[in-house]
Amino acid sequence: MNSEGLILKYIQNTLTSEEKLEFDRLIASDEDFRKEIAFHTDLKKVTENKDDDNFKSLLSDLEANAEVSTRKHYTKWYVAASIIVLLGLAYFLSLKPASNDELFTSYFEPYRNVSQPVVRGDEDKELKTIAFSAYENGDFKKALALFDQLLLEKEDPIISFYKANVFLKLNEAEKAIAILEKNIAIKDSFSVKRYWYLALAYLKVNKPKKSKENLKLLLETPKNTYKKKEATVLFKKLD
Amino acid sequence: MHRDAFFNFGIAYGIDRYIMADIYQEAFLVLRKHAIKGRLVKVDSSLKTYLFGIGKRMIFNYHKQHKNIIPLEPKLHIVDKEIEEIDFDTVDKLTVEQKLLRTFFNMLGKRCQEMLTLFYYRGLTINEIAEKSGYENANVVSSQKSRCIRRLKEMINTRNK
Repeated sequence: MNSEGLILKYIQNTLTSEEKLEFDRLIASDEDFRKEIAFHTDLKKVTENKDDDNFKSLLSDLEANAEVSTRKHYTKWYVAASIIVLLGLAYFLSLKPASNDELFTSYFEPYRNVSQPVVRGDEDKELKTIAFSAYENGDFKKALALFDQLLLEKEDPIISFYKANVFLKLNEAEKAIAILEKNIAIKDSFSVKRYWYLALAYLKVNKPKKSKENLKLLLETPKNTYKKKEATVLFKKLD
Repeated sequence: MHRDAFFNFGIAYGIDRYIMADIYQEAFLVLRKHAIKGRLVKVDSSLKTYLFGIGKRMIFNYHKQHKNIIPLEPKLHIVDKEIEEIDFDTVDKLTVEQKLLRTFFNMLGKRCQEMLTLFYYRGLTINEIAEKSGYENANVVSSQKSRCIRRLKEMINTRNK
């Protein structure tokens, strides 16, 4: 068998053991033969690569269609929801990559009051109730003063947490960081929330590295679902 | 094929939908490669199980690469444990020479490209190609193939001058 025939059989993995011996002998002794082999092996690789790419784009087309047909089931709701989401996104995010400050703005909202339920028409104007009432109503300066008063009476990590939120709202992220960092080791139902707000606070002061550290702590907390999705997305954005 | 089931399979392993969409495509690509390379001949599971087996391996790989941010939950090990992971080779990137060759290859006519792919990648014999692509006989295929190769080599040599 001539060398060309050997090469073609080699490419198609159909060499007999006898031919294999001849093939190996040529490989060892013949420079031109080696070059030919390299060419045909490369060509094999190229056809594979190109064929895979063609198949991939076929799959992408199919996938795009599949997505469309899944969507049709929910078209009405989907459209309605999309419009709302898009309006929201358009407001928060411009097309250029968001700066850390912008990221902060798009993710931050003061943590809702779960500490002290405010009952409408509650006549008992206890200090704590008034403080959280101010917080809920967005009167953050008043809330801050009242939280401070409460904290003077008794140190309370939960109240501190809300105080940090107030600082964030009032654009005093440094102070928020100080409070949250101080309590970061406390293990209670607010631990994960501290990570989240600390991450946001560090964004605000343009320290993405510290921000990521806290997002990582949040994501590594077992069984946590709080802000998990948001944290995952934000973590990727900070890369 | 099995798209929804496959997506749910991934979601049970804690993988996002949009990542699952990629994995779904990649799994099909591997399935096809295995079919072309004759690795499916010896398989006795169903096509679906095989596809999911590839998917399972890809999901584990994904978790391995991203272990820093995605915690593996213990319940994962009991999901579909009857599905055996299918191993697959990772595809090497093209070398510089191969990329260049690919550029020349793209400059060939469609008939040439198709024929060379059938022969080199799919491993069809000359006779099979004649039959499949409607050539008169095997000799026509042989000479046509030689011409395609010659054309490729000419392009390489012209460039090397």
